[in-house]
Amino acid sequence: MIRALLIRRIWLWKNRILSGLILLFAFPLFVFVMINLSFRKILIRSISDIPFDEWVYPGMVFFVAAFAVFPIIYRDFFDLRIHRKVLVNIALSPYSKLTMISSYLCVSTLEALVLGITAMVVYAFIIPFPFTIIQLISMVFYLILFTIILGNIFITLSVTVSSPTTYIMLAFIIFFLVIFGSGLIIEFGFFPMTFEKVLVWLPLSIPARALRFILLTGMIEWTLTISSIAFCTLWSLCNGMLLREKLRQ
Amino acid sequence: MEASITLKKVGKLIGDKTIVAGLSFGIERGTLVAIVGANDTGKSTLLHLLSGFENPDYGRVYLHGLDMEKRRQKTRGLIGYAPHENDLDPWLTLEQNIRFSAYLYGVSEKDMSERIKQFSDSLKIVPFLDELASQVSQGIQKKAMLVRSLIHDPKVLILDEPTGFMDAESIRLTWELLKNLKGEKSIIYVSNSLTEVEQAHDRILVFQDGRIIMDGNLDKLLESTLDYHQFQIEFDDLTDELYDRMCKVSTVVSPNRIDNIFHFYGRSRSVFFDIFREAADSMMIDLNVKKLGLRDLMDSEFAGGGLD
Repeated sequence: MIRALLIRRIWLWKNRILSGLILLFAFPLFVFVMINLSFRKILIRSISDIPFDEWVYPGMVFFVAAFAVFPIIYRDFFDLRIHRKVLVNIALSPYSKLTMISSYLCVSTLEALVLGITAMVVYAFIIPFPFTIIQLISMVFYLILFTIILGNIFITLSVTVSSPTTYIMLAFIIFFLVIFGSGLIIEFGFFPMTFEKVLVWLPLSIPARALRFILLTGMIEWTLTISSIAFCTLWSLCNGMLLREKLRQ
Repeated sequence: MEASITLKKVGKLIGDKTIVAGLSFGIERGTLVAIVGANDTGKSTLLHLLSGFENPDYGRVYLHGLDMEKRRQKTRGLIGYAPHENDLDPWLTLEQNIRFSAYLYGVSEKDMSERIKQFSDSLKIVPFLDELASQVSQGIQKKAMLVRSLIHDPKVLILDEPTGFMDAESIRLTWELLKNLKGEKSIIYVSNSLTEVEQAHDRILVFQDGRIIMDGNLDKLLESTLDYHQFQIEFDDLTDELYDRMCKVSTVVSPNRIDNIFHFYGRSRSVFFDIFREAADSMMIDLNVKKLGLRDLMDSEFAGGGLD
């Protein structure tokens, strides 16, 4: 199923190659202008005394990946389910719902990774790359976990909500959470204590925190890493059941 | 003959409303079965249950002897389903839509290309294969959906309004293809075009309120009404007195009038002469006699109790 979905994504890119390529390079630049250029005068150094460029770099890459996952999931699980019934037809193929969910997540994560890596290439021309190879590999690893969790959130949203208005409102809330509440740009320490305690344990914050830990200390934070993997697995299972229930299959 | 599909006390509810009520029947392999009925009687829901699109709330559906709920992944490959509404991905071309389905079912590149060529040629959609699905007419989309449903060589083909949105030529090509496939595949379809159903079926299931109220081929279904003819006589001036007199003719069944047109049923063509005798002094402008068909059978008056 992964092969079929992957080939379809390639066709979709091919069918709109020009706009796709423009977005591929323009979007990371837009994120850089909106996040790096604006925040660098406010957050010169992080609370943990890390230079701003180093602090914000993973956040920008994660944003690009996050924004790449959204349209893929929205398209297949909401738009084409509500308006075209394409998802139902795909669900008739001989695969379990868990396989379906996992395959979609796998393909969307792969596409998000491609966009994330493209963003890194684009940033290489603008700002110096602040990390070692090991740190880069760990960034890719936690980016995968982050993308899978975010993909699962969007799948849950897309499968449970049927009204476009409600969907868009909830998607905005999630994006606000990604931008401001996951510790990618604004450190949790800037929030009041009560909020901080909640935000640090939100599913999206966990892989981001685990990544920060490895970037700052060079050591793996096993609790956060295992929690992230557990979130990915359990949420995918739940989404499989949810999809089965929703499609009444 | 071996059973292709067997339903055992299958039911479907939506809220408190019963859509399909305890259905039990079998469909033989290789047959062409038409499902007809008024709107909102549960025909499409029945197709959903047969195709695995939805699970029944109770009862079991068996496909080639396999329980569709328990052996879901095994039975899925045996079914080809084309719904009434367009469910093609609008941003893929027709060929990409078909190929995507083939990849999902694990069809080899060689078989995929051969089948696309074969069925697209039959339905004459080759010039449209590279067009985006959103940019072709609904009739072409419908034909592409039919090719897509056949791409993995299913044993059972389930079609909801297979010729919906199509022009006359496309309808002819579609039925030609389906009739060629009959025997090799079991084909179950829902249609509101009773003329098509009359011409293309081994068996007709008449559906009403989630139940099958008639089951058989056209001749069998029309058995009770087969002898009946439908008459329509237009008079220059159909007076109330003449109308009453004609209504009293013992061989006239279910008479009624619209302006100067007298409409009735009779067991034989000779009933016309009974009327002719009564109305010999009046000027007749037009006469129309026809044998009853499926459409008449579907008329609620006949479905309710027949003419007798």
